[in-house]
Amino acid sequence: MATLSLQALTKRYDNGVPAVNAVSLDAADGEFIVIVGPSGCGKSTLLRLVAGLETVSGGRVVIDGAVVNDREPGNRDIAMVFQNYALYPHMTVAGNMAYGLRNRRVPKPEIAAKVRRAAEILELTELLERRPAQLSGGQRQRVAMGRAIVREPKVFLFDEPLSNLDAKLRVSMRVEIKRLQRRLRTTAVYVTHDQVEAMTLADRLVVMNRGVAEQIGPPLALYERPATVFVAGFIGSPAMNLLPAEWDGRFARVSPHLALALPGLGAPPGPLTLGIRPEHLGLEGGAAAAVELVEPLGADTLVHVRLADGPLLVARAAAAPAPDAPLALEMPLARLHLFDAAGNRIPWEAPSAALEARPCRPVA
Amino acid sequence: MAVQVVFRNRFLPYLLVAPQAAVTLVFFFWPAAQGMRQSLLREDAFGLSTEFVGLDNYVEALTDPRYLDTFLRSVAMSALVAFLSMSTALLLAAMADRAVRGGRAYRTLLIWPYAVAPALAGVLWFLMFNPTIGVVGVGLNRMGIAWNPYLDGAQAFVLVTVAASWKQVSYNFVFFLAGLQAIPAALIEAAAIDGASPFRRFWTIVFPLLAPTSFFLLVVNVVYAFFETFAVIHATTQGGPGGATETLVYKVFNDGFIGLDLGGSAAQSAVLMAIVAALTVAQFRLLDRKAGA
Amino acid sequence: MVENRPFLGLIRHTVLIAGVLLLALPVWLAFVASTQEGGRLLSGDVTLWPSGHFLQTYGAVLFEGMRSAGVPPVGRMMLNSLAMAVLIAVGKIAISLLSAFAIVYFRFPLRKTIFWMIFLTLMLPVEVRIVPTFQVVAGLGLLDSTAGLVLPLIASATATFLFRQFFLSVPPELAEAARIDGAGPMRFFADILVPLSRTNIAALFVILFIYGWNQYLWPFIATTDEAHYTVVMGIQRMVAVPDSEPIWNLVMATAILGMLPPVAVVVAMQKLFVKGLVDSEK
Repeated sequence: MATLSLQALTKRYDNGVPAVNAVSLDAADGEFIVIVGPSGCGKSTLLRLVAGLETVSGGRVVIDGAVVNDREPGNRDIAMVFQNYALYPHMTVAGNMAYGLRNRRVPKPEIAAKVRRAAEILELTELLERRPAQLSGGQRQRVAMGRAIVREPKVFLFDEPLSNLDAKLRVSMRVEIKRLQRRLRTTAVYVTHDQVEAMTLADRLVVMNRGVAEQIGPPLALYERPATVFVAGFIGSPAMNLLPAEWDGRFARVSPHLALALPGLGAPPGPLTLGIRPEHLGLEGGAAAAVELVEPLGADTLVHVRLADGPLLVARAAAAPAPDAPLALEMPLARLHLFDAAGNRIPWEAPSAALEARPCRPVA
Repeated sequence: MAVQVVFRNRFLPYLLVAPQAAVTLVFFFWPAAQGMRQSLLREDAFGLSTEFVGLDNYVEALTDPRYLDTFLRSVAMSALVAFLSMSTALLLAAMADRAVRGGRAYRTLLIWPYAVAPALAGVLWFLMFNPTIGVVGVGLNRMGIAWNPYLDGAQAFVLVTVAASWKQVSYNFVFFLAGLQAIPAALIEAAAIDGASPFRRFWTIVFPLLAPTSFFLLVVNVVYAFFETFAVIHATTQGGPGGATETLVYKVFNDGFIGLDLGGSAAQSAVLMAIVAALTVAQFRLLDRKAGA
Repeated sequence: MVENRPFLGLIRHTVLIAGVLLLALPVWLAFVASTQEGGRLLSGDVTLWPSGHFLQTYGAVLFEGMRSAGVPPVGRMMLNSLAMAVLIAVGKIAISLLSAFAIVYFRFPLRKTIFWMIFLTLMLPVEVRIVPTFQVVAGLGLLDSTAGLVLPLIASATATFLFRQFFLSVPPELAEAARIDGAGPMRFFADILVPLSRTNIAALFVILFIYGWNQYLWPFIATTDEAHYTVVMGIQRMVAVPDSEPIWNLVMATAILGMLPPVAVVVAMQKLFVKGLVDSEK
């Protein structure tokens, strides 16, 4: 049980490019932090800095109040689950789980008891004498988890632990990890590139891009108020519709035939980006559009529509529109996200008066 | 992730390489340096004085007609040993490849001679070719061929070459068999469907695919024939009769230890080193190509 | 097999049997000679079948040797060979494991230099540096000692490269997991890396044992005291007797005894042997 604090943590490789750039984060005791981002965004490096597998170039890693920058990984009281599990192939399941305890000179009977207990929690009791090669992918995953929990560390670190599993197993293991972490109440940092995993597991989410933490917050807060265009595009599936537009002080012009009035927006004229989630796009009334593709998912349907000589958007609808029927798109202003040229969110509350008006109208 | 794991420790790595480095320095580089130094010096017959003679030892060694003879003899022996042992091994490997009944037993019965020391291999053949008590020697004499490797240089050369080749067949067999087994069966089957006879399949498909293995073995066999035949020769003919079985390595030993011509022997060693270096580089080039393919 | 022509099978078996016989012939004849009475051998009677003097001859060489030629009992020489072979194999494996570990898992200033230094030993076989090596070992006072017999043969580029190659194929996460489990470098080496290398170690041991047992030139030069003779070099003293015919039955019994251990190792551990042979050339 411990807090974890990263203070302006930076990793610069020999070529000078920062892989992790001044990331700060305070994780409360027992909190489940998920770091998500595309490959190469620095999320794994960040985790390895916390683990002590990489040397810190700047900033501090603080675990339970103590700066651990110069501590060996073995002395940080952390446990890590690797993407490829990294089980010791020549040791049994029990041996794998016991190894860290043996290195810490925990008395033998105590090791045996802890291994037994961890095995029970993870339903590995039958497999204790097997070797990793004799286990299925899911079982190996559990052993890797077992190796982490027997140690009762202050912090769990997960490096894409589910990405080597097939889709079905991934879902059930995801649930299991969440349950386990709730039960043990151990602070955890979990790295993934899968945003569904990120949304479902996280107490708080860190979205990383190019070594920088773009936004940190609860998953729904990030979903509802993404701080940057990157977060807006990364979180949510299908992704938020992002439309480049030109703001002239009164209208945001998306295409020659479409402009939106944004009353009360005080931003200086210039380019900006409009964002709207697929589920907030209405398919009746508003701008003229043509259906390009329909993807029925069962519960709902994704409709790809193109605005008259404008961009392509995705809408989530209850049912597919009739083929070839004329279509109009509705964009509720209250659901609109605005981002400036640098990609940062422009705070804007649509005035209530505007909400009642027909929000989206072609302007010549 | 391309990050190579590195333990951080300032002194431990040096401690770890220390034994290897010490042995290498004391027993490899120091003697090699000594040898280089000696190759530039000449001692008088009583070992009382030494003088610096520059490259004289090299010039003397390389211009000595006996050295040239020895060089050509070594090359001939290498070529013969490589050819005899490789062709025999390839034939046997081609026959033992795929599912022959009793394949495992054949393999065991064909690889054990690798373990026989070259010196002992020499002694075995020495007996067989003995003109008075050896089966082959006596047989040849009874057939009217005057056979006596004690007196006839060419016959002694044959004896050493055959003994060295005999021992090397197993080594080549192991590698040819591994090479053959690495050829996908589908390729042979495709050739069979294309109507190629077994013999034709071997020469047009299998043999070309074995080329990397063959080149590799050629280099190894040449190195083997250059160096390890020393034991065969020393345990049997001792370079005789009349120098007919003296190779470059044998001459280095003979001039250094028996003739006590340290400078000359060292100069010859240096030449040998250059030959080994060239062969080693050739071998690594070949392996690179094999890895790249 | 693509097709099943009985004729082809017949050829295969004929060629293979001929090969087997050809390879076995010299050893069979040596064995036959070793079972003959000494006098009968010299009479020129050539025979292809063993006779009854097996026990006398082998007993004589094993426990008495050949005093007239200054050759100690073969049993004694075989023990020397065994010691030399085991020490060379174990020594080479030990120092190669350590240096490969250092080269793969650490970054230190002289790393490249040491790598090339080890590589260069490939170009210095003992036959080439024999005279100066003798002088160095003599200068160190190591002639006629086990250390002098073993140390100059113990550096091994081949074994170092083999282990380096293997270590590079071990997933780096294993070392990371071990570090997180609180293992330092030596503990990782002993608990994880060496156990993972055991097949490689065993295969290499087979090859190096044979290499060590079959050493000829160096023991011949580095030992003058017959108490240190090894069997492979000792036989030379029996063959090269001045001015007389060697006592062939004793020579051949010695030869048979001298090849028995390494041949037994190859036959018993055929799989490891082939693996070791093929791996160590990469």
